[in-house]
Amino acid sequence: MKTDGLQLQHMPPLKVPFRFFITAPLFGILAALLLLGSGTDGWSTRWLPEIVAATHLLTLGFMATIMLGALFQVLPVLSGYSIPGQHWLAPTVQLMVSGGALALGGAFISADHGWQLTAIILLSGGFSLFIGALGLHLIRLGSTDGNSIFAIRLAALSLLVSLSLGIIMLGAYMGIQIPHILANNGMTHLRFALLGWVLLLIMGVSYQIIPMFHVTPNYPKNISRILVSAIFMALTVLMLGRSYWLILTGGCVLILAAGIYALISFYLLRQRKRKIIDYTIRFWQLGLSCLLLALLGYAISLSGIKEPSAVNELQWGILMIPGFAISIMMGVLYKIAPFLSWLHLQQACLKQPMDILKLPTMHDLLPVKYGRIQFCLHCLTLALLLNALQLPVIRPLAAITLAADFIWLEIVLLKTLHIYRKSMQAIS
Amino acid sequence: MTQATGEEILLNATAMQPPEPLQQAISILQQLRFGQYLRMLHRHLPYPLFESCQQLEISYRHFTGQQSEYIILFWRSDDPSTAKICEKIEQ
Repeated sequence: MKTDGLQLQHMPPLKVPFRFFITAPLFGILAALLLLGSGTDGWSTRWLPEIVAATHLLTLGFMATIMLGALFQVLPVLSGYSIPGQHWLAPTVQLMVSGGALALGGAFISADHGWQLTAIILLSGGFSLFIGALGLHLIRLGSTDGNSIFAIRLAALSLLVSLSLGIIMLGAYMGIQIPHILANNGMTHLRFALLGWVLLLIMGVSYQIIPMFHVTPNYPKNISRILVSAIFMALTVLMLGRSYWLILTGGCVLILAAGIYALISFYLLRQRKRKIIDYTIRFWQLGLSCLLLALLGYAISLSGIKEPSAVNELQWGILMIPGFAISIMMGVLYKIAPFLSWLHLQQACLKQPMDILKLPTMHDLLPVKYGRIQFCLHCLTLALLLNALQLPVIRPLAAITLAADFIWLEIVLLKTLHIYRKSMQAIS
Repeated sequence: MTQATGEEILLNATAMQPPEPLQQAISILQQLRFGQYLRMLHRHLPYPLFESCQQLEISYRHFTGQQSEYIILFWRSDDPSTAKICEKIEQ
């Protein structure tokens, strides 16, 4: 997304990404309410229906929705091809993935075949449409189109693997006879989802937006590509490897590559030219710290020093999902929501460039204090969630804070959209 | 029409976060007088700004710099004397 080579004439209307951004926090609120409803004794293992349902509401309902919206925005501008039928494709994908996430949540809670079948149809349909339409863009782009596209391609491939395994497992839960080797792939599903689709996509996006938005040096070109390749290859080795040494090697490569990425990102953020108060930076630092802690936990379990307990597994999930992924997504939303709004307003001013001077600033569209509130709420939520595993009495409070975190995000996004609409009316 | 003097206005956007370079450049360009040109230092080529230049009747050229990755010169399209000065600038 560096403005070098951006093809803004292919920028989709603002409603395309915003439709996803506005819907996503609702799933976070729903996940929080589900955790609240599970009471003080329902968080003992990640296999509990409420935990599995809440996890998928966060990963599919919130995270995947944000990621799909961002990709609908970014890929046409990078590739120079508008997505054919984007006016109907984006809402259809969004409806199917949102509906699928809801149905999946219902399926885990009720174990009902109707919900399970609905989830399979909607999720496979929605993601297939997305991968079909945007996959064409990824293929059209040449191999020289940079490390971001390279990472996004491997992230999309990881999504395909994770989604396929998820659907196969759901089929097995429904009682469909599926060979054990295919149906028993929970860890591979989880690894390709969180360390493939999520981590690789965040890496690909960061290669563009950290230097662009925060005025830092660029990521080192060769190392960036090697890290992405190493993570994908390690995931493949962990999926196919059966011997102890292969699993150990794959795990070590994965930890090393993801760790180096986090450390390079920290270093670049420290090198930014203007050290102004920016809560997007704080979210990046928080997210990367959680990633490093999660990698440390993975390293301990891999070394055999300590067998991970059920609580450790939940802690790892909290570090990776609300800690790493959601922190970074919130931070990026606080930057791109006002930026995209401003860019659309600027494009509307092309015939009357003087109008640009009348446009709201980025801080008018999304004031810094909103970011501060969000960051404090999110830190509090993380601290409560991590401690709630050992202190059951604070679990309802942790769930309420999680809901507040997403409610605030929703309010802020709606306010930004409102200011954008008012400004657009003033221009036209 | 004033005589072209080649008066330079410098905008160093190398440490600015988007969309500040665009906002500041447009603010300067819409007040650009005969004989003046804007020298903008940037980390990359500001394509959105180039789109606005047509409407503002501003011409531009760019080259790679030593202090910044790109140097972009802007002048009024109806100011041939300053255009000649800008065409000769190499650094």
